[in-house]
Amino acid sequence: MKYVESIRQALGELLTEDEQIYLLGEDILDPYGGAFGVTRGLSSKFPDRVLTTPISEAGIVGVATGMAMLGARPIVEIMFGDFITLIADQLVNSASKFSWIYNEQVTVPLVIRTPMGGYRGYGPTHSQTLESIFLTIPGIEIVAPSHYHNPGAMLRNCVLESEWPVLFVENKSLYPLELEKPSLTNEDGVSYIQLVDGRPNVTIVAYGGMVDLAVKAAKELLLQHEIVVAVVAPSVIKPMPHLLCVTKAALILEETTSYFGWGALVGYDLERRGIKTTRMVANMMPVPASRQLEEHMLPRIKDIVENLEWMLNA
Amino acid sequence: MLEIKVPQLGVNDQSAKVVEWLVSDRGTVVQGQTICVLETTKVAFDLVAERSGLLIRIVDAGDDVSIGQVIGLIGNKLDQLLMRQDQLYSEITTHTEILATDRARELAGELGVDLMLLDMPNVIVREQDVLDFHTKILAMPVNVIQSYELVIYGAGRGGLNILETERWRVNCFVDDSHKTEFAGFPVYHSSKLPEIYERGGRNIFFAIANGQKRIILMDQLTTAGWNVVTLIHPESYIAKSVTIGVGNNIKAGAVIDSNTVIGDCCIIDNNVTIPHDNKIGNGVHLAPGVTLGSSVVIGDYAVIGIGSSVATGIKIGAGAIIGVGAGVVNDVPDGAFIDGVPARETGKHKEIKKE
Repeated sequence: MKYVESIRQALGELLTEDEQIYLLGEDILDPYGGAFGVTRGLSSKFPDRVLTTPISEAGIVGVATGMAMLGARPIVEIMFGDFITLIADQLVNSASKFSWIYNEQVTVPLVIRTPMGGYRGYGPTHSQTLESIFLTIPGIEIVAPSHYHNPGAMLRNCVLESEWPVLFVENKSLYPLELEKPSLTNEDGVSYIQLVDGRPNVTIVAYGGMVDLAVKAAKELLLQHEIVVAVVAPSVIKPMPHLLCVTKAALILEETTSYFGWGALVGYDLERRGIKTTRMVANMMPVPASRQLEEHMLPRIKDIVENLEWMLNA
Repeated sequence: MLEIKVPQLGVNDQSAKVVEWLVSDRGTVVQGQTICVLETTKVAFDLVAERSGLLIRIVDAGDDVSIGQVIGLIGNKLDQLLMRQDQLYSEITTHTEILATDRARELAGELGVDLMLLDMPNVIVREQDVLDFHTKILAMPVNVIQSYELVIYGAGRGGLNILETERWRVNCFVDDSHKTEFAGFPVYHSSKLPEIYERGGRNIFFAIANGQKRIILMDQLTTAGWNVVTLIHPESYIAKSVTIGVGNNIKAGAVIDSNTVIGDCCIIDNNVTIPHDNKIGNGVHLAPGVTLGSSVVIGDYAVIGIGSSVATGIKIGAGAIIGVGAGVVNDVPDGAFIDGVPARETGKHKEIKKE
């Protein structure tokens, strides 16, 4: 099953099982079914609860926040993750705080789904990886499953179980990929991936779309040097789960442009355990629209491979 | 012949999806006619025929295709088109490239090990795997085999069954897997058959479920000088006028009556009843309790399920598969799936290659 099919199936099941579930988003009705076709087929089956909205991300999240406070479980689709800047105030100053401000008289079980990531030549305002801007906001959970997780099951869990707003990040380049089985997934949603058995020589920590690159780099290293790489792929980004790392060195790989943020916390944690870390992020600049330049700006498999070779030789 | 390739639909797209075909496979198209609809993330695109002729589809609706990939053919000569279709199909499906590390390939080259023999699909083969295979399996010494002893190809339950009948003294097993021992006997890798022949192996039997494989092996090994034996259980009945080929397994309780002809490498299982004047092809499997009428003809590689009945004079095509307890009262075409009482066709599978 493909990543996008897993999400679509989960949305369908949720709509069937629970009358309080609503989908809101721009262009999500059939036959288009959303910019990435995720909601295709759903508005025909559930015309009252799959709602197309005006082009106002703040408005969509505001309305959804109100719905959630009144007992609904809305799932909002923000067409491109770059647009979460437009929902920031609604999310930061309303949705994430209302339960606390109103002394738990209300809850805001709101799930906001959005695709992040580049590598498609979509340009600087449609290719970013921006979830890190919400890392310091209390009351928001951030989830970013890869294709080595079960995104549909995770979405279902977030919608039905979470009493807090959840930012559910889907990486665009994962949509057409088949879901894969990791060697192991623990209850915190961390997947551990090794291509062969045996003690790994080095670890890559990555989430979302970067898991695909990490596994491809691991394959290169195995084929070229018989180096065994363990890929540690959390699906919950905030709060941070415990990451198991059995090697002496680890590469922390992110598609984001910032040396601050998630990777810094992972590095701090691993270094305190005596593991030597190296970080890879995208170059600190807007994502270019030209494919050739974009390729140089975002992490590349060959750069990951070179970094790992360097780390193991040092 | 024109190859229809997926055009570059958008600057950003490396792939597209085939939404639907608007012409049936082997249908006639006219230049300018829309033949299928392709889709990328933002665009739905009508693909138009650039010439007239017969259209052959290479991919199906719902498939993901890459830019530049051939998705169809337009031409005038059907057989040419079908040949090219076959070629393209096999290019799409044979992703059986062996994944092996550089070091593994180097060692395999040095030791003369064919990586295909390792038979480890979906696993990346490492140097140690090659070394293990070479030292533990390929380099295994072969014991002397007497001229009256039997070699069994297939270290599984079929093999155990043969051991139990005690019709032959078994020397060893041969298998494609990495087993080195089975039921107290050594198991040699199938690539060692020439060496086993050198050490005296002559009599061989195939305890293998796949009829086509049995026949292929029979051809190869008979040419190489092996004697492919037929096993006949003492508690089976075979009339004097019956003709039986090589490599057959006639099991306990089987009954084969006058003038019936049985080809090579068939499995006639427990309590199968084959009355007079039947003709059974090669590589056929008649499962336990199958009852045929007289004058039935069964094509190569057919499989008839447990307890099925076949009426007098019925012809069953090559590669047909008949379910459990079926009542076959009509002729069965090649490659058909047949089930029920009275039996009906429930499907069909691809052409069985007749060697």
